Amino acid sequence: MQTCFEILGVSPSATQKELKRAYFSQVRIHSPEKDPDAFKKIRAAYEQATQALEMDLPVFPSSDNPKELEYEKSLQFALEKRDFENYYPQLNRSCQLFPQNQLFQYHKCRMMRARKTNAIRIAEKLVKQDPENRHYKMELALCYITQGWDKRAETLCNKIVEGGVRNTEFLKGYVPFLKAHNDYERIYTILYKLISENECQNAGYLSELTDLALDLIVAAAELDDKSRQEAAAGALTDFIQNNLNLLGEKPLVGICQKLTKKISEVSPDHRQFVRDTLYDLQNLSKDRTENRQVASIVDSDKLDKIRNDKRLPRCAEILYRAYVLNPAYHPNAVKMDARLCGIMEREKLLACRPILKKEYPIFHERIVTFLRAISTKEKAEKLKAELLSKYEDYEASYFPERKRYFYELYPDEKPEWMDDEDEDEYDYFDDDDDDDFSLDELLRRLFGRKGFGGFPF
Amino acid sequence: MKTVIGIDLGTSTTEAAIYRNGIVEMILNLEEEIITPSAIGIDDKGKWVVGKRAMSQLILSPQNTAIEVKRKIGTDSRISIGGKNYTPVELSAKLLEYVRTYASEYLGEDIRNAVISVPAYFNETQRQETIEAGTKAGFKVERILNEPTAAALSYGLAHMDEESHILVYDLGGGTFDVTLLEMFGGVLEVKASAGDNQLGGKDFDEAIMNSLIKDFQKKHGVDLRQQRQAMVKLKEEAEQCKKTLSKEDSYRILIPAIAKVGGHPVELDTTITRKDFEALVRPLVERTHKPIDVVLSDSGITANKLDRIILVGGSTRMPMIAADIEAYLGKAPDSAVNPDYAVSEGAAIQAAIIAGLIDPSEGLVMTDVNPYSLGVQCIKDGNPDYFSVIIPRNVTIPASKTQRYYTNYPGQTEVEVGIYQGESSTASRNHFLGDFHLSEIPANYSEVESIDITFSYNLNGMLDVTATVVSTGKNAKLSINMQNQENGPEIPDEEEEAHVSYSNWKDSPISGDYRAVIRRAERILKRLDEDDDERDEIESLLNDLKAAIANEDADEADDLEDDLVDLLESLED
Ligand SMILES: Nc1ncnc2c1ncn2[C@@H]1O[C@H](COP(=O)(O)OP(=O)(O)OP(=O)(O)O)[C@@H](O)[C@H]1O
Ligand SMILES: [Mg+2]
Repeated sequence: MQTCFEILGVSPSATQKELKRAYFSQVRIHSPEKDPDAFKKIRAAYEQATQALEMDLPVFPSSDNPKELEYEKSLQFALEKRDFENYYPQLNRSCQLFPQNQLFQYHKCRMMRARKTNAIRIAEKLVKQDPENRHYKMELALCYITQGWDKRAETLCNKIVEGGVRNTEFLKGYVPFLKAHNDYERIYTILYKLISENECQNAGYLSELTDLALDLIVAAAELDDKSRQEAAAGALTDFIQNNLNLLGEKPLVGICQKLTKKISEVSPDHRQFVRDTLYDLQNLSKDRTENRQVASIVDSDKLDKIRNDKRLPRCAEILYRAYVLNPAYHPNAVKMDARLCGIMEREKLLACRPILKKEYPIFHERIVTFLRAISTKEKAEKLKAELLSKYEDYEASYFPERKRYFYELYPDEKPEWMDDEDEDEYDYFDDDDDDDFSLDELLRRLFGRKGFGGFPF
Repeated sequence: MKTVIGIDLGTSTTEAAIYRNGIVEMILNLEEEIITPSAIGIDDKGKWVVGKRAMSQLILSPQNTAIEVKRKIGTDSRISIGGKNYTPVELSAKLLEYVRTYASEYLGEDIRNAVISVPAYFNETQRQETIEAGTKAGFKVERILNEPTAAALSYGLAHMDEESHILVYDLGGGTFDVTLLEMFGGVLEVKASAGDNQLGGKDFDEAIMNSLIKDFQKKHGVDLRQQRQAMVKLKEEAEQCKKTLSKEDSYRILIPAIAKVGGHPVELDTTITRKDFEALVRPLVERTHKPIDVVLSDSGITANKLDRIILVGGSTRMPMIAADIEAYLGKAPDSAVNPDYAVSEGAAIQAAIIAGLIDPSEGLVMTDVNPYSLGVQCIKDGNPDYFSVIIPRNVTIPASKTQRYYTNYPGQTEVEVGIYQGESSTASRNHFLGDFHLSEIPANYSEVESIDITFSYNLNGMLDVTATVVSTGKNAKLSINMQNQENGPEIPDEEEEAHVSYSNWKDSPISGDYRAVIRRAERILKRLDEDDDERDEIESLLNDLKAAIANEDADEADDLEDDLVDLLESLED
């Protein structure tokens, strides 16, 4: 019954540096060369502990009882795949079989809260069992928030955030709560500390932190205080730059997209700071194509502004002309067209596709997918019905993901919008055989191998 | 106690070292030199010659001499010497046999144990074949060690108390590796490795050669590629030119009577400046950036946190390499280790650790990673050839990981576990390692019965795979053992291989060029009767063509396409 911290011989409140020192001194005793099994155990504990420290996650000792361990493993898999719904009945059973196991109780509480059923009772019990445990308190606070018990939530949260908090699950519940109470002051204080101190190891955690970093910008905007706005913008820039290599291929594009969405959350008088931040982000990247994409997001933000000013018809006209005349505006023009007119006009899309294909391959791809979807939705539905009647055991929910096979059913029916240039792309869905192949053939393809599947999502 | 030596078996040069009396010592060969050229040949008396002697006969009898064998290891290619074909393993074994001879002579005892280094980015087959070559040469190969890790070990032993992040950049004769390590409290932890097995000094030579050949053809209308003798001379001059340009600003290439034009001998006389050269090889240098990005992001360490960049390999002597690294990473590399000796020194240190000469509780301890993701083929979202990773690349080894999978259709009672290594999300495009069957799964609704697949990967490169039916505990296992061929992965037989390549031809980047002809052939096939004579011929050509496309072999595919078109035309008339 050891936790990862106990295996390494450090306290759960250790710093990363202390943790590392403990790990390396253990490795010297149990080197991979001499003692591979001990090394694996130490290594696994180290990985778990670093992650728990970094992301501020609760840590539980693993059980000695093999049966219980088996159930813990199942929980682990379900958590990794975020497959809560399917897993819930089994978790219930785990809790009945091993009522003392806090790991099960904790996660049951989380899942019940997510389903908006009353989880407070379990959370309160956990807190009572281990009053020192911050994570149980966070869980209880989140339960209060979902339940709408604002007073209790506030008192408890105030206590929790005293020593700083990094657990994103908690923050994702707490920040909207504060927003609802217009307490931007507090949001700013908590998030500024979090973002300006953070250095990430873990890509998943990073993307959650990024969301919170944008909330920081929103809070700073609402506070309408120059010096704090500057500090927030600086924290965001540093945060992005420090973690650039973990943010993926084109890190800024995603961030800017999210930030544009946030603009509407801010009260109209305070939006300028968010816009300014957006423009500043433009200069962060060294990559030209990324810059172009970011610029286009910023441009479309500009267009949004025109739209908000209710100069709609004028705007639509400018845009439609723009994509024929000025290549720099193509993607925005098309996007705006779609938004302004409320529909994607197929002719217009087709007219600008050749240019888009050359200049903005990513955007072009999206249009092709879209057009394709229009032409095959009906067919997909038809096929689904047909298949269902033939193969009753097969879960209906799976069909959307297997769209690829639907195309294979109609290889020689070329949608009318497709020009010759497209044939290659379409060919991908085409099969060797020019004939329609039968339903049986499709089923063979789906089930015929002795393969196995990944965890269902 | 057994004596274990460390060997750096390089594309261009080979070195060996030993750890004794508390220090690392380079071993001299029979010519009393540290560096042995990686050349193997047969002399005019029909005897094998290795190293300098083989190198010196290269110009006179190229047909009896082989160089750069390491680039071919792990492939099916054969190398011809004196009219006979040899496998890369056989020739590498000759080289290692020579090392064993001179090391035994130098150390005054029969040497039978070695640690051999390989590029970090070698795959399992390449590693396995290196072990095989060692075994053939009479060695017990104690460990296969990654070259950049070895270089770092040699650095680490001298700087035990340092706490730093180190990037090792190893550009040798035929391969490129980059590895990021952390030194902390006397432990050397490899965080990530990446590389390119087909990038090295050789490619820089070839860039020069290609430009010379092109000019010559333009000027005289003669293709030098057809003349083996001329090519050997050209290669020698190109390498000389490259090396000189590391120090000087220009180099004159003068080869008298390189070929005959219209019956008269013609010379080749050109001057190449460093600027010309650097422009010529710029694309090669840029190919190093991607692996660098990979190790930075896999290790989660940004360039500004690097404390030290260590250069290894002869090709890092080109000034443009250091300049490029500084421009790309914002930090200049330093010359903390000897670029020629560091790898073999590190191998000798690892050998000493294995032999128990360096006590891990006092001396240096090292942990390494696996360079490629390991996983299984499974069905995901209707894709039956999805690669599901179980041990991701750049995870510290030894490691054990488990993933859970499900049966795929109602009543399924058995599954086939196909094991692959690589980074493509399509399993069959990765490197196949082996497969096995798990049966007696209770019949049930689909996705009710679960199967746990556990991968255990140890330091000796042994991968144990276990598949267990969760509900019953029934399991099946496979050990993929690189040290022992008998238990090794089954090599897929010809037919199966052809089938695999056949089915995924469409994913190949060159497939677009051949779609039209394939469609045409398939149309005609449908018209033909079952027992038509031409049918088999078309089918077999078609399958060969698809296989060539899948293998991205454009030359082969072009030939086959021509044949196919001829045949089709004769039928259509
Ligand atoms: N001064 C120099 N300038 C440029 N290149 C050089 C210089 N000296 C050696 N080289 C090149 O370095 C390469 C050999 O380096 P090295 O001996 O480190 O490679 P290797 O260990 O044999 O190969 P690998 O590690 O790729 O298997 C050759 O291509 C050689 O031309
Ligand atoms: Mg080398």
